[in-house]
Amino acid sequence: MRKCLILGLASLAVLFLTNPVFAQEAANKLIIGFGIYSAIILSAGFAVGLAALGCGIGMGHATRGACEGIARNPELAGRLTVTMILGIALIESLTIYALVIALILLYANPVLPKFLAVVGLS
Amino acid sequence: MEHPILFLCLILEKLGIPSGWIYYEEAAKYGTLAKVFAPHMVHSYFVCLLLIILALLGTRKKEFIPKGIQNFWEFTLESLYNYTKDNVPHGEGHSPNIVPFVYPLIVFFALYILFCNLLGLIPGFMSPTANINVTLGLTSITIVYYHLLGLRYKGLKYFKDFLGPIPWLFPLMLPAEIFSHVGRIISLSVRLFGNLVSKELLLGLLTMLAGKFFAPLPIMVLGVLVSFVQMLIFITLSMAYFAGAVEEHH
Repeated sequence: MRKCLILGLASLAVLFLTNPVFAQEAANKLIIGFGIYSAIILSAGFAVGLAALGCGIGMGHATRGACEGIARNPELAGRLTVTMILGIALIESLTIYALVIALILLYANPVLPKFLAVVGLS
Repeated sequence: MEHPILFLCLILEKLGIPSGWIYYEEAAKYGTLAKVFAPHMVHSYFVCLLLIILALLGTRKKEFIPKGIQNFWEFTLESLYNYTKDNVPHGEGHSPNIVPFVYPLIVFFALYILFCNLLGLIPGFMSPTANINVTLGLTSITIVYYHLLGLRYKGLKYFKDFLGPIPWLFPLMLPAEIFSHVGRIISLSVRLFGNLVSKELLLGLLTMLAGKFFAPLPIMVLGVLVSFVQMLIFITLSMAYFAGAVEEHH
């Protein structure tokens, strides 16, 4: 906690020190561009991370149910395994949707050119 | 992230056909030929050729007690037939028998998607299903076919299913039903596409990072599993949609 506070304060101090060095316009452009790209990268990472969080919980429940079923009735192991794999693949596809959205954000962002034009960068 | 080397496209390029990602991106300059021989299309043709050759080899000399490749085909087709029969209405009770209409399509989906998925594991080839156009095409076949099946077996009563179970609640249920039918297109196509593309991206990244230490090998083993499971998911969901369009709901 204290380390984080010191780090934040130090970075703020560095920002305050460096800000007047740039010319005003270039600095504005830099800050806006940095904001846009860092927001895109952050959102892509968080999308996959949060999706994997929820899907991990869901897959855990599915696997637990299948394990309990096999422990009670070992003859059904084959059919239960197939059903579990089907369900797990269906759950996993939710993470894959998030991954596709992250890839779209990173490589083929449809909003970025419009946004840059509105802001006035390039 | 694109494949640096694709052997089939290189061979076609040597023959003078504009085939490759470079030509596909500037298709306006090179004409329709660059679109017809785009890399995913070329690999799709290759899979079709492979399947036709395998089928011809299997039926070349038919024996009563099957051996070798004929045995393989009989096992594959029979297990697919049993799987189809388990999952769609097959004429017991009041339900119609749609197995003869559905089974050839299911076999096509299973073999084509499986071979497409597995083709991407060979270095120098790509999976055609790692392209959104191919998976959207496969999905649109499913969507059009289950609407046609519903119209064939239920007639105009098929549209009553869109109104939901309670008659006076239809303004609420109609948008939900339509949205669920539109969502099937997206979910079915993006699921296959995303799985395959993530596998190929992971393989490419690991090859670039630590290719000389054989880092992609475990991912390739995982890729075989993903190929089979995604094929199974696709045909299972297709059959669920076919069965849902034909069966009586309430």
